[in-house]
Amino acid sequence: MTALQFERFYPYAGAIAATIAWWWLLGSAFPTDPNNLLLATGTASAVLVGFVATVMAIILSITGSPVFRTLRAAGYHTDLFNYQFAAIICGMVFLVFSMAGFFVMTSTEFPWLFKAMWVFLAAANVLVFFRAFTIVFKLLKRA
Amino acid sequence: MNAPLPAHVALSEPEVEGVVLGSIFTFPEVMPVLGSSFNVDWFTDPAARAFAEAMHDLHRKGHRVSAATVISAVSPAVEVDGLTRAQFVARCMTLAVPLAMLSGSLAVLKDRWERRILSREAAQAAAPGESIFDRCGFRFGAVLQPGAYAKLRSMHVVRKVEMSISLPGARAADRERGRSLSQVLDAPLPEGIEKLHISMTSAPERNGRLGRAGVLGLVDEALALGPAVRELLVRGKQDDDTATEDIDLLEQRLERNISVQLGPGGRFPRHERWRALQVAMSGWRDDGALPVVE
Repeated sequence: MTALQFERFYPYAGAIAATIAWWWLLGSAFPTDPNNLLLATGTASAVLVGFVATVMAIILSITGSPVFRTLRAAGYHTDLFNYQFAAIICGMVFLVFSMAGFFVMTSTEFPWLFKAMWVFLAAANVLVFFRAFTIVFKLLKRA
Repeated sequence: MNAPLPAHVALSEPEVEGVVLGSIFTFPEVMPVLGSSFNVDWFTDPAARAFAEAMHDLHRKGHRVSAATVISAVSPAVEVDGLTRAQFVARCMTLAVPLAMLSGSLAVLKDRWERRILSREAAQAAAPGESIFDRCGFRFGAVLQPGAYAKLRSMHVVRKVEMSISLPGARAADRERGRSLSQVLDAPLPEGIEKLHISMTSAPERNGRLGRAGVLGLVDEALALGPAVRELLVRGKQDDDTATEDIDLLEQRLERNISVQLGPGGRFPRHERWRALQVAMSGWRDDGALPVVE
């Protein structure tokens, strides 16, 4: 596996590993009162999506810099935009998923599949945003 | 039925041959399309080659190429290890791909065939006991003119090595090789650097010298970088009593320009590129310029 392939797929592989670890090692633990959790994740997702959208605007403002021109000439700008796009989409899916949680919740219990999906999306979001932010900050340092 | 492969042939080769044969068995109408371009030399597996020859003969004689006709045209002698001709055909047909995807497998077979021809040429040029093969079949790298190697070999006191390597930052080739975006941005190069200059000089004492084996290894590795090396200079002398001289190894690099005809679609056809390599290697061999690597 090349470094580029690792960079592209590690958030999703990491999220799968985190979900398996949550299931086996933590015994699929989930808060007894998930109401607040859903509210919090919805808010956090919205903030992160907004942040990435702002970052996209910053990136567009430095498209004329030498480092960005180099990345564009080498074709890396598509990876940069794909990572940002993945962060926004992941955040939005997580936001919608959290909102949908209010509809599927019966009393205080969730179906196991919903809990597993929530853990997967939460881990994927953390890793996807981590990737997007680290790369953007490296880019800004060089710009 | 499948004989052991020669060591330098990739292990997946019989599978690719099976894909091509199986696709032709499944879609016999492709044979007239392949026509005269179909070459039995593409096939290295003895069984696959026997079937390919039968296909080629049937097609040339104007017969329809089908599983039944090909099986009957192939000698039962190819049946070994309990694998019958019909079983072999059935096995190939499980590997068949849609016709739209067959060009990829054909290209692989053609590529490997061209490579085998070139590696045979290289094997003839190699010194006794010298291995020219790596995992890909052979290796590419810059080669010096015989005179330059002779000078380097006779230079027992090396005082200085200088080299310049161009560092254009991120390139499309980096992405193709799988270098990640994070690695590209981590490159600890100040902005604007285009060239890295390295100079190694021996201690100033009278008998100061650089390790000769290390220098020769460095030269080989630098030459393998190809056009990225802009300057490669070795300064030394044969022994303590002779005069110091410089060898500019880039000037001494073996090179040959060959015209390659542009093909349809504005691309250089694969066959033309391989032919150019073959012409270059044959020319160097005939000139006695190969082998020169220690």
